[in-house]
Amino acid sequence: MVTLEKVTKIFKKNRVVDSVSLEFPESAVSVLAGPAGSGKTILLRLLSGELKPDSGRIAAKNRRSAAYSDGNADIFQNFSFSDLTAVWALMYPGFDAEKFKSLLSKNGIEWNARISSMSQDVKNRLSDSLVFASGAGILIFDEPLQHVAAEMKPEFMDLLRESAENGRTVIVATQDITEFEPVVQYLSVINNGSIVVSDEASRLLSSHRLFPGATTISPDFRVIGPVVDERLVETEDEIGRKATLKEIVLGYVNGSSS
Amino acid sequence: MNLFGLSLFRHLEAFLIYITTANKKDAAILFTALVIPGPIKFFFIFILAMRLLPATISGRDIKLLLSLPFSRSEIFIYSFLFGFSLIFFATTIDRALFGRSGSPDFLNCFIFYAFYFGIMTVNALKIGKIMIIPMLILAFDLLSSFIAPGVYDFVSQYSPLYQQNQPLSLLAALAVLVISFLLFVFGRRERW
Repeated sequence: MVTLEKVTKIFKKNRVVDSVSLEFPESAVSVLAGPAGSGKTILLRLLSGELKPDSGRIAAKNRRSAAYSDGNADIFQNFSFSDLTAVWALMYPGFDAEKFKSLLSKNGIEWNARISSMSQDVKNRLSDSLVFASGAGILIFDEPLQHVAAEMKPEFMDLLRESAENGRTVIVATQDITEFEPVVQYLSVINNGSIVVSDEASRLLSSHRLFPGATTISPDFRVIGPVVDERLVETEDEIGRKATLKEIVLGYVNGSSS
Repeated sequence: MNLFGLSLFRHLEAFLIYITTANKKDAAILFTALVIPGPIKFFFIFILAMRLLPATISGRDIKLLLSLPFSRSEIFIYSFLFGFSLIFFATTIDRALFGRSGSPDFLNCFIFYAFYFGIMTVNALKIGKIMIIPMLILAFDLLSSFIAPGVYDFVSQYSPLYQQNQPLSLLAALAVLVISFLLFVFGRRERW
């Protein structure tokens, strides 16, 4: 479990993460969704220990052994794969070198490839492989599907699911939750640095409905926000139509932006 | 077994692999250069200090290092100790090969190194890659007897270069080093 209590990060007088309180449970895949510039990446960088919050507290068992794959990964330029393996094995006692080699091979990365001449996409795939092989208790990914090859996406989802089943806290940040819908167990939506909703994905799905924009909605229901030409409403009643997680994210983002 | 001690050694070993691999050529060249006797040693120490933590902070490696399970204090201390060890062994070899010969001794080198490692770290944290403040300080220190003779007597007491009063120079260097440590470890205005 990773717990954030009123975490705030300020960059150049902007509160890029604003008093965020949130929990990421163990043995689950948690997705942090929000538009570009909403504060997702800064929140992940705070979780990984790369940045320090200006105020608030981040608590987790073995937080210092979290493994983080940046969406724009930098890997030490002069390193060979043997150097990487040596450093990661020292930093993460549960590092699985065989799993790392196997993931590299599946991602089409040769063992003797030069890191300095790799494209950004390949570096990101390398970074993801290091995280999956780390054996760390907390695995953090920023926009992973932007660089995963199409044929590798099902395997990537399996690895996320398997990591959660093995007791890991898995945290993924994304702008588009569509492809994560089959694996997400907890969903948090962030907009303008604040969390606008956070709950179990199944509970969010069962408690939100969509209504055509022209429909008169009873004041007993809470209108969340517009979704294209419909409106997202919080209700357990089986009225209107079911919303997907992507529509729930959109409704909360639009509702909190207006 | 002491788990804290165990992880400390694992982290130290991992950092040594990082620093020696990242500075493979530079470290070997600088180590050889540091053996050369005479005041030129200070120039190579200046370059060495620049290649360690300040380069890590102003380059791209700091993000990856901090996302690994290193603490900020570990990164600062290990980086400082790596340079310290190179200087220690180089000055020892210099002394064994060339004797006293007017070359700065280990303490002279340590004071100079600690001062500029600290100043360069602050520069990297607050300004960035271009080491403008350390260069200006070094130029002023070097030329103060010509450009500001009125303050030379005072400056040279604390100077990491002239070290007219070694205890004061050592104190000044340690103060700068401690300030840079505190800024790096507890600072919340990261430039990376």
